[in-house]
Formats: sequence, structure tokens, C-alpha cells
Amino acid sequence: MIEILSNINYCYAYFDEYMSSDLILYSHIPTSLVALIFSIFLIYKRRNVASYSLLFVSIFFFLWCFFNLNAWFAFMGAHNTMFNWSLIDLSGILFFLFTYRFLYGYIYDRELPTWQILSLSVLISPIFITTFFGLNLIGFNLDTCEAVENDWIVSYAYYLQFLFVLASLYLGVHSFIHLNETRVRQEILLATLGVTLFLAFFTGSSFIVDFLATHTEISNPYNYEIYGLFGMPVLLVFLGYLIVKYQAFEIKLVGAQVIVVVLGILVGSQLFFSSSTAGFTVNLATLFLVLCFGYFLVKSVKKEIAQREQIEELVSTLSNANIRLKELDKMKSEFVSIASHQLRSPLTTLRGYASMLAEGSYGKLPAKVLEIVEKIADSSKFMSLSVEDYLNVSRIEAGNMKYEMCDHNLKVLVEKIVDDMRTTAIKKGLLLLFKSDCEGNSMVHVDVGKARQIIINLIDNAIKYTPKGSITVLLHDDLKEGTIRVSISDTGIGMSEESLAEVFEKFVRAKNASNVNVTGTGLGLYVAKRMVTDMHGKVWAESEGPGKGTTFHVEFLLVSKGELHTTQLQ
Amino acid sequence: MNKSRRFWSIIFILFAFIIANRFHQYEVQKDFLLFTTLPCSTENNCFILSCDVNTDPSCGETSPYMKIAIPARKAPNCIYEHECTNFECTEADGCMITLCDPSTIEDGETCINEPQNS
Repeated sequence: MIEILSNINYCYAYFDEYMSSDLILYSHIPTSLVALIFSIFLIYKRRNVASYSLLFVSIFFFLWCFFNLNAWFAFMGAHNTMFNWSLIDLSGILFFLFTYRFLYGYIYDRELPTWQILSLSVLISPIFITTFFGLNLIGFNLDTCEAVENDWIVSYAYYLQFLFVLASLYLGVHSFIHLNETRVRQEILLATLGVTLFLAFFTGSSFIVDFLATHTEISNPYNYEIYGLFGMPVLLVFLGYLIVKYQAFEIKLVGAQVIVVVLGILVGSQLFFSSSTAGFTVNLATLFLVLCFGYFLVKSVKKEIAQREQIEELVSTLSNANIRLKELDKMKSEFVSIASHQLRSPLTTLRGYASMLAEGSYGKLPAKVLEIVEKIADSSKFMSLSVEDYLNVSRIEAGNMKYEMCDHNLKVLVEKIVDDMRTTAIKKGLLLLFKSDCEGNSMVHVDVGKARQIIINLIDNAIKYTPKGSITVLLHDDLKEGTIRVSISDTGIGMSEESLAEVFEKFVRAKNASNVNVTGTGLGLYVAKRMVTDMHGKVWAESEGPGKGTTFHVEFLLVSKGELHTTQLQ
Repeated sequence: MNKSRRFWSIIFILFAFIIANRFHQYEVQKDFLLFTTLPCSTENNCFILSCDVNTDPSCGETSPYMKIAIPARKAPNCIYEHECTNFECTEADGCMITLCDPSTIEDGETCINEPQNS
């Protein structure tokens, strides 16, 4: 086709000999078309200073490619080359100008300040004036098949382009330094990098070519100038990444969509350069397959993303609900704490007077009245213990539980507790035994008061839930492991596996517990577990099943020899 | 219409106007100069490509030439193909001849009568 059009055979021969027409077409046509399509897509999705600027960048870049491409084809007529060549510098400067405006608009989302518009208009006016009057070209050289340029204007345009590169770089770096938000800074960095690379590729290729022409013996160095055009795809890659990663221009685009479009363009552009019918058919079929598979890929990815977004939304809702629940739980604990404190004082008074009455401090009471007073004393004792449990729970949950840690002999402590509680067990017709096979000194580092409370609680539970038989408290140490264990075994009602799994939970009682003892808050074991854990110990329960008794184990760390200390744990 | 929009609109209008103007001058009127070389009689001070006989085997084959500048609209077709045999560059056609002298000589050229290396 080119040969038919040629009307200066000399220039055609020159072109044919020194330049690959395929490379010229490939560097100009797909690059400029892709940029144009990209910017039209952008303007369709979002209209602001940046997207409009990018549209103008692509329009002037397209015009530059058009004029430049035509200028290469000097064999199509000297007048044609002169016309196209005369407009190259002007369209080049205009897409540099709009690229700078794009970067400014992208960073600040507003128009360039008036002082910058005025300065830029002054700077570009010489290019406008000289182009208008045709002063940028002197004539057409038939020997080299090139327009003869006015060196002054060419140099001015070149330095102006270089100025735009520096201005873009300064703008990006300045904004990057002065903005604090990391995400925005990353966006700015990428946008600046893309823009600067695009402009620097373009200007740099001219610089390198000039250098090669003047300092080396390379033949036809100006042929390499066309590689500068590949800066545009670089810019588009950066913008595509910004859209996918940061939803730039508020566009929600899936990476797969971008990849499919790019693949489609690359394969589609091959159609223009197929030299045979077979090649064209293969390329066409490949394009069709790429688009078909691409469509299904994008559809599938979009579906997955929609599902992921739904899950993320759900997680966010649940997370908010969880925060709200925690707040409510804290408020509840505070309420319980306040209420419990207010209950404790009158209960203490009630217990005190009931005890004094029962002991005969105010004279001997008739048997029936004594029975009633004892019931009052028992009930108030239970109520007092319940209040104490509530208070402990609220302290634990508020993180206010304090531990006075010191070294203490656990064997002495447990033996004393068993002795104290034996009367209660006997009253219920139960046998309470204490056994120890300790080999060491049984020294543990605990809060004695709380350790006592835990063991009393466990023995008291064993008494409550054992209708007949015995309770054995066994103390066993493992010097190798450095632990000592208190095991409280009863022949009571036992527990199912299900109950064992949740018996240390808050407000949970074994399912068969209420058959034996109707009272109980379900907080004792929860409090015990939290306290033991806070004191670096362990507590757990074992049972072979309902009716087969239960064993509660409490394990503490032994204090090594010579390691004695007193600390406070909160 | 705000100031900035007015500015960008002016830019576009000027650009379109310049395209029209360039098209009219170059494509319609063919109002530009063509530069080329023509064979030159050795009676004149012609240009000749300077070369090194020791390194360039085609050195002796270069012919003397003169440079001409002619308005495109008045140039004969043979000029474009470098095939003119009887073309005469006359002032009447606006054709200008440049012969070799220190002010016109360029890199890689020599004058045949008064050899001067650039």
C-alpha cells in the first residue's frame, strides 16, 4: 500500500532502506489508541480535572503520533511532511502541559492555580507563535527527506519539555513530603513516578538520540527516537495499578479486567501487522479466544469479589456487635459491683445479729425461734457468699482483681482447711479425708487468701453434691515438673462429659446439680479458675459420668529452693 | 465560564486555527522552500564531499555539486526524484543557488576550487 501511495521514490527508497515501517506503525498506532481508549473510559466513569486532563493528554499524544507518523512518510509528499512536521512540537508541548495539569489535578483534585496557568501560557506562547507563522520550519530537504527545522525553536521546545519533567517531579515530591496520610502518599508516589517516567522517556529519547548523533558513529540515530513513545504504556500501567489497588478516580476495577483488556489490545494490535492471510486468521482466532476466556474470567472474579465483600461486611457488622456486647458486659459488671457493695453491708449486719441471737447473746431463744434464726443465718451466709462471687466476677472482668503473692506451705494450708471443714462434712454424714504423698517442702507462690478460698470452695462443693460416701483431699507433688496438685475426689453425683466441658464457664452449673442443691450462682468455679490461672496454676475436673463421683484438681507451681519472694500481681 | 475554562478553550481554538493555517500554507499553497543539490560545473566554486582516500574506497566517485533552494510550488517533478538533467535554477522562478564559500560550507564538505576543510 505504501509503495502505491509514494510519490517521491527517492524518499521511499531512503525510508525503506533505513527504517522498519512495522516498528514505526507499532510504536505509534497501538500506543496512542490504547491511551485514547483508556482516557475515554476514565471520563465515562469519572469527570474531574485529572480525568479531563488525561483525555487531553491522550488526544494531543494521539495527534503527536499522527503528525509524527505522517512526517516519517516523506515519500507521500514534501508538502504532507511539512504540514505534519510543523505541528509536532506544538502537539508535543500541549500533551506535556496537560500531563502536568493531570498530575496536579490528581494530587489536589482542583484546577491549576492562576499564576501557574499564566506562567505556562507565557512559556508555551513562543511555540504557538512560531508554529502559527511557520517559523519553526525553514523548508524541506529533498536529500535527507526531512524538514529543515529552526534550531532555536527545536531547542526551546526541548528545554520546555525538560522543564515540565522537572516541574512534575517537584510537584510530586513536594506533595509527598507535605502530606501525612500513608495511603495518599503512596498514591502520589506512584502517580508521580508514572508521569515522570512517561515524560522522561519521551524527552530522554530525544536527548539520547541527539547525543548518539553528535558523539558516535551510529548510523541513523534518529530512528531510535520512536522508542520514547513506549513511555505512554508505562504511564497507563501505573494508572491501571492505581485504579485496581487504590480505586483511583473512584473506579472499582478488578485486576483481571485490566489484564484481559491489555491482552486483548496486544493480541488485537497484531492484526494490523499480520503479513499473511494465515497469520491474520490465527491472530483473529487468538483474539476471539482471549476475549471469550477473559469474559468468563472477569465474570468469575467479580462474583468472588462480591462474595468476599459480603463476608467483609458481615465481619464488620459482627465486630461492631461484639464491641457493643463487650461494652454492655462491662456496664453489667459495673452495675453488679455497685449493687453487690450495697448489698454486702446490710448482709454483714444481718449475719452478725443472727449469729449473736443464735449464740444466746440476747438470752436463750425458744427452740422454734432458734431454728428460724439459724435459717436466717444460713440464708444470709449463702447470700453473702453469692455477693462475694458477684464482686469477684466484676473485679476479674474489670481487671481489678489484686493478688498478694507470697511463698506459703500448701500442705499446711490444705490440712488446716480440711480440719476446719470436717465438722460440716460429718454433720452431713460424710467422711472427709486428707492424704499427702509429697516429697518436697510443698512451698508455693500464691495469694494465700485466694488459694484458701479456692480450696474451700471446691471442698464445699464436694460436700454439697455428695449425698453419701466420702470426700478425699489428696496432695501430691511432682518435683521433676515442679508442680504440686490438690485433688478433691468425692463419691457424689458426678458429671456428664458435656457438663465437664462447661462447668468452669460463667453462670453454668452441672445439669444434675439442681437435683441435689437448688442454691448456687454458677460463679464459684468460674472465679476459681480465673484466680488459679492468674496465679499461674491450673484447675480442671474429671468424672467417669453421672453418679460416679467427681475429682477436681488444682495445680500450682512449686517454689524452688532458695527462691523466696513476695510480689503483688494485678 | 470561569477563567481557567476560558484559557483552555482559547488553547484549543488557537490549536485548531494553527492546524488550518499550516494546512493552507503547506498542503494547499505549497508555500515552502525545497532544499536539494544539483550537479555543478567545475567552473564554479562547487561543493564536494570531503573524504579520506585511504579509508573510503568510493572517495574518488563523488561529484561536485551546488546547493539550491526553490519554492515547492515552482519546483519541477524531476527535482523530487533527483533526476533533473536540463533544469536551470533562475531567479525568475525564485530559485537560489548556493556555491561553496567559508560561510556556506558544512561538516563533511570541501570546496573544489579553494579547498577548505570544515
